[in-house]
Amino acid sequence: MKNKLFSRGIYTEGLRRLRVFGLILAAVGLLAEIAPPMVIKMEAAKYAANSLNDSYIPGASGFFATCYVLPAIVLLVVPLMTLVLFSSFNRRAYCDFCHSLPYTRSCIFISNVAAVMTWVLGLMVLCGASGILIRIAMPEFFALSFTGYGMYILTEILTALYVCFTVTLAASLTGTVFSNITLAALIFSFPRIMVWLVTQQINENMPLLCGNLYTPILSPRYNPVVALFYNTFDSDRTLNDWGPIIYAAVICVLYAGLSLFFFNRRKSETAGQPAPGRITQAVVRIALTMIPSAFGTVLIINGETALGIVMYILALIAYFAYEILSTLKWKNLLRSLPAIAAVVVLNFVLVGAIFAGTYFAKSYRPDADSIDSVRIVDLTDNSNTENYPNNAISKVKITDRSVIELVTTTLNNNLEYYEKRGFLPYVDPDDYENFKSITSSAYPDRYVNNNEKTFTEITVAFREGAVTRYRKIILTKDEFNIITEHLSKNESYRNAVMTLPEPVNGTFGLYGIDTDSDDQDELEEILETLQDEIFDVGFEKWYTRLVFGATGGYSDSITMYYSADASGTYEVRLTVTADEYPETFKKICELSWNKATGDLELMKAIENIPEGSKSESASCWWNIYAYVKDGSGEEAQHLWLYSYSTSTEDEYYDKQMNSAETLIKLIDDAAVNETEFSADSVAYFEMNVETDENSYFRCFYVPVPKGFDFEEAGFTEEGDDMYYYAD
Amino acid sequence: MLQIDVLSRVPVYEQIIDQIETLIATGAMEAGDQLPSVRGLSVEILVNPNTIQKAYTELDNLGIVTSVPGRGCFVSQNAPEMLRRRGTESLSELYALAKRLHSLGVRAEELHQTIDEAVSGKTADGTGKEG
Amino acid sequence: MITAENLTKKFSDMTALDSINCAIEKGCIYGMVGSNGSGKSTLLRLLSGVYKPDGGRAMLDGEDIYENTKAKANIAFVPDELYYPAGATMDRVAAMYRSLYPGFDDTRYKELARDLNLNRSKTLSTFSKGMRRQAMTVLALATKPQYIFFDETFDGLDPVMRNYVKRLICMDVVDRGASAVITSHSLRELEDTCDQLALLHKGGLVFESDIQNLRTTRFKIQIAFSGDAGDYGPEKFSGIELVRFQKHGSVVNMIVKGDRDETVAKLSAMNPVILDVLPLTLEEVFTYEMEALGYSFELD
Repeated sequence: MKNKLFSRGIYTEGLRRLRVFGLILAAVGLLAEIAPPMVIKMEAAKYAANSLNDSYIPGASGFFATCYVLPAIVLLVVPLMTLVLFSSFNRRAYCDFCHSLPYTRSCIFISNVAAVMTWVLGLMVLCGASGILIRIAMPEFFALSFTGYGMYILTEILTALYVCFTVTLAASLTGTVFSNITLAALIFSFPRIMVWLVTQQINENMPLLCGNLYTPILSPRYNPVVALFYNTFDSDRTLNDWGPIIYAAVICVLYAGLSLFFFNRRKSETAGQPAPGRITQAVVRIALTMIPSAFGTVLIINGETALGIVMYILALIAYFAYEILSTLKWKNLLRSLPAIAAVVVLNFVLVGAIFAGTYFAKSYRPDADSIDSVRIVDLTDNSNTENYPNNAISKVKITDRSVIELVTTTLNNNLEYYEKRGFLPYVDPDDYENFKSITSSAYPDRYVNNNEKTFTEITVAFREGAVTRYRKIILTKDEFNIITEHLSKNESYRNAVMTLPEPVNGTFGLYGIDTDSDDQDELEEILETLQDEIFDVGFEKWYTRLVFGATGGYSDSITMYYSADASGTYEVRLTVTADEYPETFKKICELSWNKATGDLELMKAIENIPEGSKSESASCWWNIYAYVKDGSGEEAQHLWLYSYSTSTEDEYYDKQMNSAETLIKLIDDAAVNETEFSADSVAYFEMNVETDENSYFRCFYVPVPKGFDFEEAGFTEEGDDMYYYAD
Repeated sequence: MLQIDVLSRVPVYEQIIDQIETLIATGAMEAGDQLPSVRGLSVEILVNPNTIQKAYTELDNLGIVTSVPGRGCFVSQNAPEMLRRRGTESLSELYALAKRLHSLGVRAEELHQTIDEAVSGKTADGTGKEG
Repeated sequence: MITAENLTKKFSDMTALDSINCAIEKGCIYGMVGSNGSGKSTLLRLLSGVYKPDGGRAMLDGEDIYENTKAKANIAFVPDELYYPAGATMDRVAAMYRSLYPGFDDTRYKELARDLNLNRSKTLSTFSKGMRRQAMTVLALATKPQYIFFDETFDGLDPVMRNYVKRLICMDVVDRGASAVITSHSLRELEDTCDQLALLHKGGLVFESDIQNLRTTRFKIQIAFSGDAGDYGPEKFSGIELVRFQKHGSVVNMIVKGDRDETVAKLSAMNPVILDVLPLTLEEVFTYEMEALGYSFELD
């Protein structure tokens, strides 16, 4: 190949050398992608009659749910394959051979990287495609969403390159597998760990700082490898972002350039040596030792002297252990002694950085006049439920001077207070004379950290010109109310709260009602109805509903949920109450009713209840919750009829039979008369019925005709005898 | 055609020259005969072609052979004559040697016998000796 | 022509080559002799572009060889420690070479493999060490390079194979003006194959010369004069370049450098009673040369 930068020969050779790994991993990956859906399908077949179970509501299957093997490929396969190819440069004979052939070193480098990436991309395509295809073939279990695929695929590829070039950079600088791996790990983690330690400590020293926002570059938002890693264990939806892509792209270019540079300079003699020179060896050793010693330093700063010393000892051990393990020469131990001074110096630098950072953070005491605007930003927790109000809040720009005054003064007061107390990490809230006790129940969890505290902590973004600084401030309930009052008057906030997030089709569900993929379109329409009703009802009511959530009774409220983003991790839960959102509520009732009556097997089983109740092994049971509002302005009633779970002839047997008959009658009447749903009177049926072949667990609403005599039918008030069961 | 003794102290280059001269002088090669090609000879006796080339060049310089570019080396027309003359010129050495040996006590009969043996290649007892 | 100009190479704690100057012309068979650690392998690796010089230059026709694919395409290197791609067969390596070296001759490749009974489609790892050496030699020869380097390869070949390779080299030298560079421990081996010889010792080039020149311009002389010549020393032979002079009684043994006929003529004119002239073996030449330079000549 006359082409100077790429050689088919080396490339093909590289492909061949990875063949064994590639094929094994392909088999494993394929299995991993296909097996879980197959298992689900098999389990579903077992419960064929009960095939519509809660767990088989087609969950949103976004990119990371469908192609979940891909992150593993990026994080594990890429470094493995890169190491396999590049570790052969640790063998002198191979290096000499390669270099004696008429290739340029750049050509060798590029061709090998191309071979690795070919296999990696091939595996990605294979696993991804098989994951997608098998899920397309099972629409009853998976609601595939292709949103964001373009961005995610780009992220995966760039991350793969990122990891690959990290390894090649390490391999270009060192000459044994042990040192390759050590250096690769250091390249990846050292900067992050150091920055994290420093910022962590600054945050400790100045609790009013907000971790992630202080050093955004550290957050998983930006580093795609970390994001992918977290994604495996805890879905991080922030991957749907240009942040990781740009970060990965920049790193790729940088590391690729460095790798190429160092690879070209790499002498054949480096093969088999841990490092080409004493300096590189020292740098690796120092970096490796810095990690435990930095931890030690931070521990000592925090007063944990004993543990700190332990870390120092560990650091020393690591220092010498690395030298021995990498060079296998005892005499190097003595030679490497002087470089420990560098570690000591760096630790001092670390301490200096911490103190400098803390000082600068503490010294931000703005004047209210200089602040242009503030935002209330919530980012302390990462629970994804009920996040959409949070999102709305964090976007609202507050320019009201009184609010700005309030938060700025609070910040300054807080800082003064902390100054007096010496910035100890744990503040005793009762000391602070200005804080009054507040009750926490009126506020969603995220605004009050725990019930012991008597104040609330919020995060504020202070914007001065083009700079935004994030600080936490601690407020009393009254002060907090000022802010929420202001927020609730803010037009954009109101709109943001009232506007429901866009749903991902196929991810709808209802708590307490069985739905499946056939119902998705209908549910989406129901959502639109809800949106309209929200606008009609207004901000206050909707906000309160959001805050309070479900009322607890199925008969007059029901919770609907769906996923708002493609990765399937942003769940939105909305409570629909009968009196506030009657139209929506009615539509939901209709949906469940139609489903139930359309299920002939179920209807047959219901007719069978009286017979079924007689048998010894009967396990039919039911609960009917009724909600009645009789227009006269009286409070609505919550009524209840349940099964008595008996098969022997005793006092409860008649009650059981009556209950059964009521149940059957209500259903039959409603079906025959085609009763319309009314939000004033509705019954929620929850039952488990059996025929000879199968058992059915169902929940659905049944329309109750106006004027129905509940008392006569045997209904009682929902109350203390709720948990009574006759034996 | 040539037999090179690689273990001998005599350099290969000299052996080649000597043997070719011998072949010409004894009439085994006549004027105008082509010498074996450098390539062929090199492959046959496993000697460095440069060595052979040097030998041929030296023979050319001496006038024993003529090298024709593109065609090879050929025995010069007057080569046999040249070699005989060289031999004849060395006769004076034989004269001086005989005189000296005689003065040292070697008898004339012994001198004659030695010359006969050398020329005929046989000893008095009839065994053959390579000359 | 390959030239080394003040070529220096250092490894972490020692200098392997110190300012080497040598030239390998087209159409010659160049031998390099030296004990272990003399720098032979290092020099070859510098000349084939494996190493980068720390000082000086390694050039092919005036161009640096390092990272020069054009130059390297003219050079084939058969190292002492063979490397072959894992799981590769001869054919696979041949395919790689074919794409790299413009002169690769398929016919020759197949012919050589056949002649030596090497199975072209068996993986090289199943070959014995000797066969592997043969295989790599065959592959290198098949590339028909301008320059072929054998780093102690010959030492591991059996005599038949050695002659076979020599034959091929000779043909290439005549046909294409190709050159071969052979390093060895054994002077014997190189003596009858090479026309140029270089002696390396501890990273330095002790000398480099034409073999014929060496053999024909150095010789041993045993000379004695009649008793009345009395006592004398080397100054008696003022017009002659003496490498070594030993006098036992009235017999002198000396090693002389120069034109043989001229020297003999000069000495004869002095009317010795004994005058014996002996050509030297290469080994003797080297020993005396090294002695004169202050080294002891040892090859292990």
